[in-house]
Amino acid sequence: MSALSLGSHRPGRLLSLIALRIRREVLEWSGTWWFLLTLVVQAALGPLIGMFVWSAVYPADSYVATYYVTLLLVTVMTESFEQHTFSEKIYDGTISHDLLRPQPVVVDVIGANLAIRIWLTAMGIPLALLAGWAFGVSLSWASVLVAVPLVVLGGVLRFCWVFLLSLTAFWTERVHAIAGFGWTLTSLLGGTIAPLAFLPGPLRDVGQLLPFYPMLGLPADVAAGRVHGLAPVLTGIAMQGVWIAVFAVCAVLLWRAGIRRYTVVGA
Amino acid sequence: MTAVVVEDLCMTYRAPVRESGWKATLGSVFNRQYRDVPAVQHVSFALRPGEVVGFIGPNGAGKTTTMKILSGLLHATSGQVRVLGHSPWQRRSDFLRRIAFIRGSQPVGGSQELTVLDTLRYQRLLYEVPPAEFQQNLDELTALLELGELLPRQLRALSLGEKMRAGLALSLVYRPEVMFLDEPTLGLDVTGATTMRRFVAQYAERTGATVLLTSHYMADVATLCPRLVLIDKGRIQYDGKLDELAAKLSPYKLVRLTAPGADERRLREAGELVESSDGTWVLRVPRADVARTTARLLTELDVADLSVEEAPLEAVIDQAYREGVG
Amino acid sequence: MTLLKLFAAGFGRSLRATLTFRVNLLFDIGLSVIGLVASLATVFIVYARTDSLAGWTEAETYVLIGTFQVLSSLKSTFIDPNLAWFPDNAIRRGMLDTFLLQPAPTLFLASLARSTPLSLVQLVLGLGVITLGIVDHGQPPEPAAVLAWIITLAGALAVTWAMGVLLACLAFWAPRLQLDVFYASAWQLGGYPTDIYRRPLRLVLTYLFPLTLIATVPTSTLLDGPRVLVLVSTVAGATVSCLLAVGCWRLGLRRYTGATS
Repeated sequence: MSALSLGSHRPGRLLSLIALRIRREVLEWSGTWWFLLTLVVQAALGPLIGMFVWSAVYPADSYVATYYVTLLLVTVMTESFEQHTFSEKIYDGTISHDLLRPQPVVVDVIGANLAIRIWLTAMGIPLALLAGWAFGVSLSWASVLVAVPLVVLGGVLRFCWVFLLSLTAFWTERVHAIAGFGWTLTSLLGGTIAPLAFLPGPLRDVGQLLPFYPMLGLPADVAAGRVHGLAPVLTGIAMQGVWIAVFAVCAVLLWRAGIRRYTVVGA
Repeated sequence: MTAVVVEDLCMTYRAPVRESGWKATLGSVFNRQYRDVPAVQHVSFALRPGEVVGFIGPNGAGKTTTMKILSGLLHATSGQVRVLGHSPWQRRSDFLRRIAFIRGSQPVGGSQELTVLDTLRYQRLLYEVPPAEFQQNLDELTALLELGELLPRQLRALSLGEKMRAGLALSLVYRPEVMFLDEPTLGLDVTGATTMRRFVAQYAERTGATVLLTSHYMADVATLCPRLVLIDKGRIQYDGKLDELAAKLSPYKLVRLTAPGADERRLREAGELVESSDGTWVLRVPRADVARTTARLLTELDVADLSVEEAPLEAVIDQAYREGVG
Repeated sequence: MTLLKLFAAGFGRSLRATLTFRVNLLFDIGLSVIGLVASLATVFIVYARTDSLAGWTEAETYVLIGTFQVLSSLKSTFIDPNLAWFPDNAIRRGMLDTFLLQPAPTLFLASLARSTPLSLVQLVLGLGVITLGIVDHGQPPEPAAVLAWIITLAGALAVTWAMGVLLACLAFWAPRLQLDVFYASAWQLGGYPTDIYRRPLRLVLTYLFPLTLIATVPTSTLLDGPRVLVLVSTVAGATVSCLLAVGCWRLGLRRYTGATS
């Protein structure tokens, strides 16, 4: 079962497989654009509520609105729904079909993830612009440019995290509850409920070390200009890299154990 | 006295027309075009109480639409429908308590976590079956459908055949007087289909229920239904006895003979050769010529065995679907 | 009377089905606790920085959060299991056909016949948080305030049911429209004081989709005592929205069964 170990495949072939999958998924999702719109609303809601709450607390602080508008965009651009796109395949048994194809199973998962993100980003940008205009937000191009690699890595990290949680579908039927739990952690410590800087001391220190702030709050803070300078940005990128490596290794191990269970027990 | 009367029934769907492509999609949001699709046209028939009737036709002929109208799920565009003296589309409780619409293509409703017995009890409450009567019906159904070991099990854990039996019990525990069965044997294995057929026959005989049944399996129709209504493109093509349809449609009979060492050329002169294997031949002979041809074959050849058969029902129906009933 | 019996029977059999999965029971209790801790953490974080959020003190906000939990719990116990993913479950998978052919009001069967008793765990937790908030507030409510609170809760629940039915009704005209995710997201807005939202949005959330009123009205009734105007408009609003829901449902069914064309 080398379905998740990408080593045996040429990188070029993998990329073109993923690209093909993205193309197909983008087209498939185009029929349900209104549903994607509700997903954008769902993703944007946390940052919007945060913006309302903290604007009421600090009406004069322009950081609040700037941070939450960038956070809104980062959240929308890094959304991951593997508990739906992947776990459901385990539940209804269609993953057996994927296992028989001469490509790693994760290729389709990544393709679907990126296709949905492309749609959500396209719909999320106007929403972020609207919110930014309504709250009178201004961003500097330099900060936004610096934030690009952090958003990309944050997106990879968030995918790894959600995919890791989705793999528990091999053992339990409650994957949606588990993913919901993951989402609660992400919004509490990732900077949605409150910017990390507003958390009480000990919670803030823990939040700095955990993988949730690098997923959402850090890219938003960089784009908003609160985190700037070479050293903090590089430290942040290093944090993202370490957590991506940790989650990826865990995912591979969990996948191997899960697929063994799946092929032995059957579904 | 009739259980079901249908007079001049018509049903027309309005389907939105849309061309492919982005531009057309956007355009259709503002200016939607419709096309009328006639599903059922001027259909009339009547069922006597206790009758078991096969309702057949190719896919898209209008069978399910008719059944939906008869049970009250759809409101007909025009025409008269009376089932047990009610207008079905009003869906009055005292009407719904007396009918059942069973679709093989649809799963048994209700929470899949519950046991069959729990679901049956809920059904008792819903259909207001008096407890004594419920127990009696349940005992009968348990015996007929071998439900005993299914009752304490969850719906989700049942196999397709078991689900079919449980679904039948759920629909029949309140003793409907009219049953509409839409493809009841769909997807069932041979044993399941046979159980289903035997059960429907027994239920109809025991309770005097009226049954209208659609099926693509001719065995269902042939074993259960003395009378056949054939519908195609929304219109009734034939209504009458099953064997008369065969005679009407198939002006041929099949002569099967075993004659080792016979000359195949001679046989071809007698009729159209349909099958040949190892000294056995099947000839298609016009009905009128059957007597003369058999006599000739018996005198001219050294025949070990000879029999005359009707064309198989499948072939007859296939011909009816493709060419219509003349 | 029959409907009440059917409702009780539905609840009873759901409870039995739930209790057969003990692992899930523990799991869901754990999750409810985590969800509640997260909402409490939000309040805690906010009030570590300020004494008043849009005029609400910390104790008042706890009562609000508790009330919102109670309503969310009742919603996910009695409303969601019926109306969730209505276009898919009821129309495409044919559940609605089954309901139409059963001898009881179709709207009852489609919107209230099933329940998920497990979600009531959240109700208990919510009541706990309300108690905590009131103790913190230092002023126990009068019996009249409690009675008025129950009335406003019932009104809020009726409005919630009506909004669910109205959303489901959309499926009769636009079967591909799936607004569950949207409704679930919008519902979250109700857990915060109305006054934090800015003007255009606040008007929408007050009059068009009265989501923010659903928890704030009962909460302020409990804390500040009953006001006749509020009670009358709650009852009137609930009645109007229920009538609207029933009317739309009838129209939708007529369309579904082809009675209009």
